[in-house]
Amino acid sequence: MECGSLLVVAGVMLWYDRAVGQEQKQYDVIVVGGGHAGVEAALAAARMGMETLLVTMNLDTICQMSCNPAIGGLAKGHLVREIDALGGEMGLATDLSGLQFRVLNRKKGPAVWAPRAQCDKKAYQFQMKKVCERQERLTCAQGEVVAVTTEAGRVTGIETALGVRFAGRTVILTTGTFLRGLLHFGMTRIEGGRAGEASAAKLSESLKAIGLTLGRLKTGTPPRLLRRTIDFSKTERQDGDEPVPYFSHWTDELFHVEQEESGNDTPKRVSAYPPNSVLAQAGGQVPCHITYTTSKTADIVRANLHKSPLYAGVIKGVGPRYCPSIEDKIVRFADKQRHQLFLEPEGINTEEIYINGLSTSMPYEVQVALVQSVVGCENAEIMRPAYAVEYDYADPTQLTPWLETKVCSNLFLAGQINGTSGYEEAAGQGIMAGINAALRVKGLPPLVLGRDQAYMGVLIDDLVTKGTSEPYRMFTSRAEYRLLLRQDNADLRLCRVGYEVGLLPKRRYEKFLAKEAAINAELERLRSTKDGSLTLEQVLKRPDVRHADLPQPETPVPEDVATEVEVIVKYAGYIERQQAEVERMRQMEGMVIPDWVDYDAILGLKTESRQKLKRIRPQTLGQASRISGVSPSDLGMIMIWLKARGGK
Amino acid sequence: MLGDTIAAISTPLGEGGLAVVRISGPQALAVADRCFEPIGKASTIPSRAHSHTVHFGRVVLNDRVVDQVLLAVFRAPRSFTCEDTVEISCHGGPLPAKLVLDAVLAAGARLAEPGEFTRRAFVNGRLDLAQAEAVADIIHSKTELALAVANEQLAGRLSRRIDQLRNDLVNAMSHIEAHIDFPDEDIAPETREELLVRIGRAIESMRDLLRTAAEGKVLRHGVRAAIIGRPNVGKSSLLNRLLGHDRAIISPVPGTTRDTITETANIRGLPVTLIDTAGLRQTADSIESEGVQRSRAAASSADFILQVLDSSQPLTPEDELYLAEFADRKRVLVFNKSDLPAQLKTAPPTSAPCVCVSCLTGEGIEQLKDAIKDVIWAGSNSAAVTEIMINSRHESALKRAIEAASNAAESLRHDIGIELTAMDLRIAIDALGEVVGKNFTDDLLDAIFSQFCIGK
Repeated sequence: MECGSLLVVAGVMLWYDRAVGQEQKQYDVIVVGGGHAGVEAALAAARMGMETLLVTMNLDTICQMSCNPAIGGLAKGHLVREIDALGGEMGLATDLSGLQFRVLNRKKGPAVWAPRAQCDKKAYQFQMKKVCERQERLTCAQGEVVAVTTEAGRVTGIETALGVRFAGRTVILTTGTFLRGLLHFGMTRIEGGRAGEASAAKLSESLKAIGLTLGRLKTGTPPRLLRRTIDFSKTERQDGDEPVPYFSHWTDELFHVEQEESGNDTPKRVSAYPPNSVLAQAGGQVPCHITYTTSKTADIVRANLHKSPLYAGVIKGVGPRYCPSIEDKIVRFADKQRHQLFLEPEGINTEEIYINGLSTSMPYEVQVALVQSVVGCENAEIMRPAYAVEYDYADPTQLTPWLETKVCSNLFLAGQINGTSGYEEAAGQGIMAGINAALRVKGLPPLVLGRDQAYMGVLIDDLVTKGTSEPYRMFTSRAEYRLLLRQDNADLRLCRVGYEVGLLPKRRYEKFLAKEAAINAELERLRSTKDGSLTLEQVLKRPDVRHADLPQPETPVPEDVATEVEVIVKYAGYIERQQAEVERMRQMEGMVIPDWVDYDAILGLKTESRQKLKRIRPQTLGQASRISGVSPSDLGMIMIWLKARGGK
Repeated sequence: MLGDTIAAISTPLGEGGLAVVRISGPQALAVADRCFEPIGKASTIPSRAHSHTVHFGRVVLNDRVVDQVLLAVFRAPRSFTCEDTVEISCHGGPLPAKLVLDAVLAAGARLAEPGEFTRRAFVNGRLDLAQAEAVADIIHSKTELALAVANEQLAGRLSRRIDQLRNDLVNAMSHIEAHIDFPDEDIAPETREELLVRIGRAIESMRDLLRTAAEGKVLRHGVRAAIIGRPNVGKSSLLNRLLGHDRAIISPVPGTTRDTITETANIRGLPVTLIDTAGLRQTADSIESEGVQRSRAAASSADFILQVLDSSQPLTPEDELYLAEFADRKRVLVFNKSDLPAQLKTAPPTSAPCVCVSCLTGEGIEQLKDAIKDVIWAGSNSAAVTEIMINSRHESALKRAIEAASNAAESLRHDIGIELTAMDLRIAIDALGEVVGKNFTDDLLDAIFSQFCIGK
């Protein structure tokens, strides 16, 4: 923040709106949409010193978890740790509102460990709302945005359904599933962005008018059941990990809020859980339960397939393969005897239970039968029915690697509008869009994270380079440098970046520097201390040796430092190999392809490559090399053409 | 990709008495150190050599001496590419150069892409604009060729085999990746034994393929050309001329060659298998008659025909008969004995290319080589040729894939970490994917979602 405030160039300016005829404030950054992308974008911009406006259709549903009230998991948990290291909010909000925390893959190597938390849906959302409302320079307003206003290929602001215009130097659109959202309950169709909420019907037209191409995607959500109608004794209990594996690098701040103020004589008592957190309220972690479908479930699906809008061909949008509806699962994996389902509490003050894995678009009466065919749910009652939702998205190859549209400058898109799925993917794009909008206002070059630097880098590069034909979800297998992008080193990778752009506060940065120094000091000690003929580093390389087994230094090493040191030493050979690979790619990443490149004038490009290059307009040769079908020869031709034209 | 160390045979395949294998990149000297043993006091290992010096020694691959060579060292930036460069001059012919290249690749270099040396030279500022445009032209044409090659390849058996191998590995990998990315799903992971069997099977198949390539079977196949004609028109002399040495016994006595002789010659960089046949004539000699039988068999199995006529004699009825017999075959008419006064006045009515040569003096042989090259490239034979040309690419990919897959099996066997096994498998799949031009992530996700029901 300190760094940012020095760089602030934009004060608050007055802007005269001819259409409405009143003087209005001009914002630096306007964010349309108050979901997971929008909130991170707005917070990042405001924290970087921008006068920021967040407009959402309903202030009561800021950061609503429309689907599963869970954060994290493989690759997604990595994303949250990265957002946290840059100075984002998602990790902290999860730590305060989580009711069950686990680290997945603990039995595998640390590169693929991943934190996951089951959250209290309302607590999460109120926590985020509170943070937004208390954020300096951030204004939260309710309204339906119907148009983006532009002038000469540059965004100037937005207009709401009430005819109010807001002027903005930059605009970030994070519309989620709301653009022409259409809900399917069996053959019943209702316009809406989410059950019980209106869709944004008009904004799509405005975006098309600007020149953006929109497509259609589909996603779905399972029913919510009434807790007391479920027989949990027939299911398998799944507990959280102890001690609680929090997400944030800065949980000390959460604990710090409420020091014991009374009792000056008694030693300070550190509470077991962050004050006011859901865990503190619940007095500990809340379990989830695992159950299964039965052969009856399969029979019901098969008998009613014609009632599913997916199978009847009513739904045109493409759904995600990794989150199939129960119809899909039964049809495509016919020989599978049963499918695993999770019963997850939606919060500690609600009786609603989310039945994870039973997403469907069947009509209500079939849903009832389906639910009651599940083990332990024989008498379960549905509180909210499942549904599928179709919505507009903008093919993300229309964006630059800093998420700005190519057709309209200063207009940024983030989240589900870019064809992604998941809160974490949305938040990751949100924070990057917020940072880049702020950098634009400040007149600074954009921030693009590399594929070797962050999952966020992989995510955005995949989107803008390859586009997506189904809702894009992050997997660790999408990262070619998986061993470098670990959840344990997100701070080592990104805190410096967060601080330098003016987002990560100085106190957090200093905490990070101290940790980094401690890691280096401990590595140095292991290299220089001998145990017999071997250095401690060599001893630690043995598979069965842990850091705790080594002779310890005089001042004990904090646990996170010890963990990091252990990972660095044990993975050393593999990390080096990946880094060598990164170095090879770096030269290509450094070769910028200027805007004025004329692919039609470059001799010898294959037709297919030429078309793709013209459409995607990669920023670097590295990005060009990842476009499917672009060959090394094509790259050579581009390189030569540029050298010949651009001079040295 | 810039920045790594590349190598390739820089002279046309086997042309001439010498072939040059060039290595360029930051590791060029280190790579050369690993496969070159200096001989004599004047020679030294490349990393100790001064720039622009030449060293005598031998190239070693798997502890076997491959060839005796001269090795020249050019230190950066005083080289064609402005990078550290080593040029190894070895004996000509396709095999020595290929083995030297193998040794260099085994020592850590990567096989260069078409035009890559030139591209590096250009990027490092060696060439001016005019030269650059010329280079672009060359790469352009090479691209077209490479595209043709790629298309031929897709139909090629070798490619299909590699594709299949890659699919096997992608499937093995999808089990590992599903296991990593979806720990909460009730996916029954393959047991370590099952995975090891899959990977082991893939490695075995890759080794098989590699052995085939190493034996040079593909190289020896080449394009087949049958040399036919009446007795004593100089068929065996022509064979010797094209080979560059005396392989067949020649004599003025008609019918000296009684059996077919098969030898591979290097014609304009292309391996051409020449089949010298017994002269065609009616004969009572049962051995010679069997030879004539074989001549006809050879002619029918060949890709094209070198039909030899004696220009010092008028066309005989037999000549006319044989000209008609092979009229519908792809062929080059060779009028031998141009050193003697010409008696054959009128050229036979045919659209086939005609070349006058003297096997005695060597006159016209170069023109004949050009004609042969044109005939090969003109028709459908190119598939056979292109397969040979990109063979070393397959080989290099297979070697990298075997190494990586072996590492993967090793880490799996010792249970070092499934994510580390995955890293090596990915390298193996990437190596094979380069050959068949397939993208890793897309295929992997397809494999995962088609095999596992994932839907938390």
